[in-house]
Amino acid sequence: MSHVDEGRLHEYLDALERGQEGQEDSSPSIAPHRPPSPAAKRTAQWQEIEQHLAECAECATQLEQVQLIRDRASALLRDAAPAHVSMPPFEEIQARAEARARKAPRRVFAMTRLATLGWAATIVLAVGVGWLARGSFNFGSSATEELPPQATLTMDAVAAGEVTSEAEESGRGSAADQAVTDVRGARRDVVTTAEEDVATQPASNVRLEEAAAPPPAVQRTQPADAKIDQVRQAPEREVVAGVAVAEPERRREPGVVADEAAQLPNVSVEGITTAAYADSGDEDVSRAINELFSTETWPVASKLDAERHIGRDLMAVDALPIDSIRIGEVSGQPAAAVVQQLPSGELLEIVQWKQEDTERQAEGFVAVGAVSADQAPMEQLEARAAKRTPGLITSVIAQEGFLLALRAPVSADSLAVLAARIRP
Amino acid sequence: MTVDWAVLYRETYQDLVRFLHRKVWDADRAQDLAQEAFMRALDHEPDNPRNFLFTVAANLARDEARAAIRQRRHLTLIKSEEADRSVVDPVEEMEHEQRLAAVRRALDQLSDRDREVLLLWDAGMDYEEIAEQTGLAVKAIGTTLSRARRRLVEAHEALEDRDVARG
Repeated sequence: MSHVDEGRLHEYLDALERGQEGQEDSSPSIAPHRPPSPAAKRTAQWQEIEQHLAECAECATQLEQVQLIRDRASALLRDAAPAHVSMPPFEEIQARAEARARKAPRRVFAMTRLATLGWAATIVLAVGVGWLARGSFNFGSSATEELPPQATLTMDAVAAGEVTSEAEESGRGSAADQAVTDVRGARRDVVTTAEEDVATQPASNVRLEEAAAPPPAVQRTQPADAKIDQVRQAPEREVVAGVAVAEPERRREPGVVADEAAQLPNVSVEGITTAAYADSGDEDVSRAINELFSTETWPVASKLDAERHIGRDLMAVDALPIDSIRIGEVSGQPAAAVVQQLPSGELLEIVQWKQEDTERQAEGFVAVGAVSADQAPMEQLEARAAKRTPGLITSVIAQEGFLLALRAPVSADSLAVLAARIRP
Repeated sequence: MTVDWAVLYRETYQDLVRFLHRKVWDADRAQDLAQEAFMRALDHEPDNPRNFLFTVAANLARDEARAAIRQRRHLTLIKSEEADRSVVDPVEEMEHEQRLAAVRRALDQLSDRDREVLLLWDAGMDYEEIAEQTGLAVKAIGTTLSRARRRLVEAHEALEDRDVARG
């Protein structure tokens, strides 16, 4: 079994504490042979941890530290408890709740009655207005019926080959006949095209119906040539538009839509210049990095304040929730730390500050004892990462005159992926 | 599901007040809000009454913080004046207030999520209940609690050191 992480040790101690509640033996010591939880599955897990703790001195030491922190935190929270809590009898609370419930229905009833009356009044008013205004509007007439009778007759005459429009007056009767033929031909073409497309282009149905419909009444007063041009061209445009609308629908496949995140533009990062690993065996390195980024004591700030503090937009990994933002100083420069939560619950910290000659400064982090990514093979880095103290894997990126230090208890590869997704 | 509200009240009321107190920092107000939460629960009769109580309590505390900061300060002032008259040991009371203020400042240093998880645990909820309440995965609760406790302790120590340095 690998080492037990800190979160798991807290979970173990918490289960132990709650499992002991109500038992006669209230010994504060950790009882490794007592099942901390009634659930069999959990018990097996705890037993496995206990067995490991009995064999691993490192984890046993860490358990003691975790217990100290846990006890201290509990003591602090006890200090924050109210000095005295008066508990009224339950009957009093129940009586108050019932009294409130008795009041509420009356209010609801009153509101319901008012609302009903309001609706009734509205309906009566609407019917009355409609009745009074029935003579003012002819709701059954359409635009075609409103046209003067002679206009309709003119169109009928055109359809029958008896053109009496402006075309005939100017001696272009044959052109008008051709117009009628073309109009009918164009409509047939459109219908044919529509029938062919219906099978593959459902989205164009509406367009096709519009195209197949008779030309608008207003066109009847136009010259025959203009009418021919309109009828020849307009339906085709409509059908093309229908296809254009349908295309994206047909191309939209589930896989493509689901992978929208992959379509995000890549971020221009100047390069991960340093991957610094604090070896748990090298206390100087651990201390140096921790002192450099002692953001725990930095005050929490709003995003706006932090951006004002460092003088530009904050950088963060997209699609990760921001846990907190703190402001402070690094090497005398105003700095901000954006803390984001990874899906595992662990935190990623991005410390960012303005720095001249960022390439040289980034290399400077190697000088404090870290290992440059291009100096050590990946196996060596992974081996060091496996021995790491949690939270001390750091990658420093130079970006547009700023240095960004990433810190998270993840592998070097994961940190590099996260670094590539940093953006304002 | 039949809920024995009297038992639930007896077992949960103190936890709820403690939870609320660390949000509104006023003992009387915390008790008022806890009673209000119970009255709403009795009215709604939810399937998971314990979870409902803490959800309502958290919402009430949040509304309280947003809407009535000035009024609360005023009331707190009046209440503390009244309380002063009944204090048996003023020195002890003052020390308690100082400890309270220090913990409050340290808790303020935590992120909202860490603080919520820590307070829910301290109010007696188990990991599954906390996960349901906060929307976190059950497996993430241990890590979150670990971080919250460490931060609380470190923040408190840092604040103490700062106060000592200031004299």
